[in-house]
Amino acid sequence: MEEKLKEINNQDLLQIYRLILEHLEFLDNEKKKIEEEDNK
Amino acid sequence: MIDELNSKYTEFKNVIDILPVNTKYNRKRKLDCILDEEKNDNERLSIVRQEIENRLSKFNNLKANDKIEELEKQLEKCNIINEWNNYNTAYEKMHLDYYLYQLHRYYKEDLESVNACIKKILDSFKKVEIVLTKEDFDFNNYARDYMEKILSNASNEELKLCFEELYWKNSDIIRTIEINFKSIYLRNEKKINKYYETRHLEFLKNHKDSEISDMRVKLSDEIKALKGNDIYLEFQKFVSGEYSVSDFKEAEILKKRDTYFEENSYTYNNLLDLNKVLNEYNILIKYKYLLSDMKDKLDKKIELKNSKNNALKEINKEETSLKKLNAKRNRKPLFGKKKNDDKWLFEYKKILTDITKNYDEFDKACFNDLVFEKLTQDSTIIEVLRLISSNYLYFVSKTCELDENQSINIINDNFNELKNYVNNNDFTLLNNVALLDEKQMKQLIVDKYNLGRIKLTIDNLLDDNIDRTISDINNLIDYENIINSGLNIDDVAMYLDFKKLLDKDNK
Repeated sequence: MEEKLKEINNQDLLQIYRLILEHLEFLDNEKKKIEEEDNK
Repeated sequence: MIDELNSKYTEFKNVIDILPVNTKYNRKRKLDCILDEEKNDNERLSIVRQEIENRLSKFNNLKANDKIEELEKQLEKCNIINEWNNYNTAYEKMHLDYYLYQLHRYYKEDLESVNACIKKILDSFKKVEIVLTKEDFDFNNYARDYMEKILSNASNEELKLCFEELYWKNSDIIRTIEINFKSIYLRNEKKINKYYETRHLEFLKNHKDSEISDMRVKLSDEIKALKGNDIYLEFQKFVSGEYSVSDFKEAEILKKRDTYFEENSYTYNNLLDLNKVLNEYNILIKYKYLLSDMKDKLDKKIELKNSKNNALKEINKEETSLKKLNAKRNRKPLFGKKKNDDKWLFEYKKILTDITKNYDEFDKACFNDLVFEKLTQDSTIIEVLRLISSNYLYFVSKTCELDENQSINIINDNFNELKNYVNNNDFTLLNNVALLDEKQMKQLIVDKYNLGRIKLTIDNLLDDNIDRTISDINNLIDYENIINSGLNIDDVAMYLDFKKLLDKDNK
């Protein structure tokens, strides 16, 4: 992945960073949903 | 790579979506799957972050050029030349004009500023080898007692208590001290002049005056050249917000270039030359009110000359009355009661008001005499501006007449800006145009630049448009400086975007 990243332009690098952050947020929400189910 | 990542995430979401959560076991399985994905994603994020940091590092490693700071320190040393500025009397050289004006302004507002100001004035006298004691403050006992406290290095709290106690006996303590300082200066004026003269002669033993002024020009040019294409400074202007990436869009820059320059006339030197003349013209517009007042003064030379002695005579008379009044109050009466306090205070206030008025008249008369001694109707505008910028009181009083709501801090900034500006020796217009020629100026400038195929118009120079014209030309110069420094504006935009994102993420 490191090598591939070196090749891409600044805009794409920024977009990848944002995408990962968004996905992490999604995962966090999914975890919370399970937790809520557990507590029911 | 973005597509690859997107489809990976979509696939994961689809899988997660169908995983059952009906039992504790199933929920645990789903959670494990999410935690696994989270671990992978955090690893991915750290790799991307590392790549971003690598790209930012070339900016983070930029360093300030030490040479610039060193040259600026040397330039500051050249300020010694202000000490033998022909347009200053010892009063201004000691900065009494500034301090006494501040004292006058603060006296009803803030006691700590008043005390700080008084201490600065005491230091100014000390610097010219005049050490003041409480005995010098002989206009009234309350002012003398307060000065005694200040001279004893009492704390602000002690000074506050002392002031409160004395204030109820005589509310004019600070005004009295102000007048007392003016009187002390006049009594010692010859001695103070001698002090500055001796220092100057001492300097001339090993140097020439021109050495310092030449050095000042050389250092200023060197600093300007180094700053103009310094990549660190240019970059910092973006970081601090002084520059915005959107100000340097290529299409906008080209449009501005075409507005002012014909083909082949667009060069860096032409830009600098135009900028210099526009700034000189702007100074002329900004200080039109002062220049026209100076013209009036020169027109009324006979009427205004020699009023100094009259004011001085009145001052001496009133100072003697003030001292007598104080002595009379302190004398123990042989018979009967001490003179009524109210009557004494009434008389004291009246003399103090008259004396203050006469000192103002005296300051004005001294300034007028200086104008008549140094300037004529043929003096160039730069000579007139140099005289104006050497006299703080004149500058402040005329500026306040124009706009009484203007804050003193802005006036001070403008005064210092003008002083620094006229100390520069590199002028095109201001040192060639006499005070009386200023009317034809617009046409003169436009004709000169049109000849050089620069498309400047009278419209560009109108009072409402001049700021815009200067800002356009400055924008073109800034753009050229950025390019010459080797800074890539797209890279800067990337830096600012990354920085914003990383800072937000770190919060």
